[in-house]
Amino acid sequence: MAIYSFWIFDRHCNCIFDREWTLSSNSSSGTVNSKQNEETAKLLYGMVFSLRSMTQKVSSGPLKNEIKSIATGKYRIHVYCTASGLQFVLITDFKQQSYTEVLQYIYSHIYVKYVAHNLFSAYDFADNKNETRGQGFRKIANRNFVQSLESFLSPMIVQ
Amino acid sequence: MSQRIILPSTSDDRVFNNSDGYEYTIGPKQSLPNEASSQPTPSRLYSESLMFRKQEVSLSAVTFLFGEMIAHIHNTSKTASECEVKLNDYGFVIGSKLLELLNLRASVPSNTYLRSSNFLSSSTPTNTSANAMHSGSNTTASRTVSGVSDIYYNQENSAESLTTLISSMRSRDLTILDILQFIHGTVWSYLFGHVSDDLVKSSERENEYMIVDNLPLLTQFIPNGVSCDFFVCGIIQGFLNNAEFPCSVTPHLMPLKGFDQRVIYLIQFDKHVLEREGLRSE
Amino acid sequence: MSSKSSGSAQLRSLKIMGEDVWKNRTEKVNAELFTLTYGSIVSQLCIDYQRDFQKVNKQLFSMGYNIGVRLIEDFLAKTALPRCENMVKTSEAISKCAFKIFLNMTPQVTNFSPEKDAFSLIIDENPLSDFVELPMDAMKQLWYSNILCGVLKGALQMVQLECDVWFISDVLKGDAHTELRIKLNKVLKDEIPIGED
Repeated sequence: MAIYSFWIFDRHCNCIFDREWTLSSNSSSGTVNSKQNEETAKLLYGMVFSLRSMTQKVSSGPLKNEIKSIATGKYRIHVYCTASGLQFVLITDFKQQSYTEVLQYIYSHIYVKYVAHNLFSAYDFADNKNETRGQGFRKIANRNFVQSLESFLSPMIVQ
Repeated sequence: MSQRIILPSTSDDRVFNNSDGYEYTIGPKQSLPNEASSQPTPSRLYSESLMFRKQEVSLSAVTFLFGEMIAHIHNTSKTASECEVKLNDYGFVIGSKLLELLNLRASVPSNTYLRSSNFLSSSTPTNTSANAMHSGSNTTASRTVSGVSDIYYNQENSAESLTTLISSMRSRDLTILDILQFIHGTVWSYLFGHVSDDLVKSSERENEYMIVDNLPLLTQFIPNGVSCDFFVCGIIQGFLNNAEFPCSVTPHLMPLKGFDQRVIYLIQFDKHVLEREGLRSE
Repeated sequence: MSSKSSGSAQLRSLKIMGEDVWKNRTEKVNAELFTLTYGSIVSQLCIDYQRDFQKVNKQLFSMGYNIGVRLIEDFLAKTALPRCENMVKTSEAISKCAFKIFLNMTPQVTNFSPEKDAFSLIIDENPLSDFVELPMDAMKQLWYSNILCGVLKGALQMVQLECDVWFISDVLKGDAHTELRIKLNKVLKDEIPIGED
């Protein structure tokens, strides 16, 4: 199995989308934006956040240093951050070294197309101050977004 | 006798109403008494050329602007049909202007080197007459109108007047088919970079015609429904109404294989337009 | 390598990037459609607000803001630029990349303040105001292209730069050139999840 799950975090430290695949044989298995993943989302964000801030404090010189992947014994976590505070996270196995292009594609051709360009979708998923700093709960529920993401990632689930 | 006189081709209704202080024949002028002695500001409008400079902006810029326009209309309207009417009005103004502008540009004789670049980008095949833009020639249907070719365009022509190239104005389209061909070919190329995907006469009703667009440029990012296409309907309606073909235009979503967002603009002409056609053909 | 030469190399690459994205990765549309649509919007606003041009200016600004907060994602997706370290870099990114990619123009960057936190953009050919002439009363009060100020404010806000953006002069008002000023008020801090602070 190549891809285990996909997450999107916004600038308010909230998880605004998550997709988990449970069976390698079935690309339509798994959950989308499930409540059970909320704890996992917070832990995942916390880890990415801590490592990012450490990296940036440690690095010297003008160019900012960003983490690209974190490897554990069982899986690898790939992170793609945008200047606008969005973080695209993919948890995969070890077959492929870098998923940066995949994440960039998702950002530019799926997120921008179906969320940023879409008037009916919010650009900011925290409605008020109480939903910032990791306390928000709103998700991307846009059908076209989910469908487009599925058709893009499904071929990569089983490799 | 209920005949309506065919008026001279001015799209400016202000010949009938009082203006709002801006006399288009004169330009900006002082409205306050204490400025009456100061020099009038020279008007730029009359010195700028109408040559088509083929400037381009990104699709993103246009769609974001369009989207925000819709959001604004949405916020200031109480009902959906009010939104549609307002959107139609925004387009109507544009259509009326295009009637004058595109007819003027189409009057440049076809042997001038500029002729082909009047409406299409340099990458599409040229046609020698304005009405010969058949839908068949647009199988390329490439949405990316590629960058300006300097062969057809040099910047120093910007001061040159379009009218010096015109020896005789293009005669007005008097039949329904002629003017619809102009919209299907010239107007659509001007607006969207390609001729419209089809021009069809309805078999059910005499006064109905349809223009088909497989992927509407402006509304491609807007999901759910065609009410945003009322803007283009307004452009078509403004164009036709001012050319003395009063009609109403509505958009309809008719997806076809491979084209989920295919829209049909249904044009319903007023009865007397058809009577006029009938009289003319006798 | 001295910081000065690497700085200018970076600036050149911004210019090249902007041109490359415009040429190869941007779908383009007839600018006159853009001009006509914007003209329709402004004139309708003037009618709706009964020629209260201050209100029109405000509305244009807020429409621009709503566009800017979304446009930034499109910009970052196309260029993959990281956050700029200072306002000099920001000004170059705005004029050479952003304006080029969206409006196919590169305004000139001038008039940096001594603290390098404010600068002006001089706009030569503005696609928004092609063929536009303002009536006398509008000339005094209306900032026709005010939507641009809103777009810039919204977009910069999303990359944690809180700025004031306003027009200083406009050829439509009879001035010599069109100048827009951007001033950084403060750099916003990224949010920290509750429990980490």
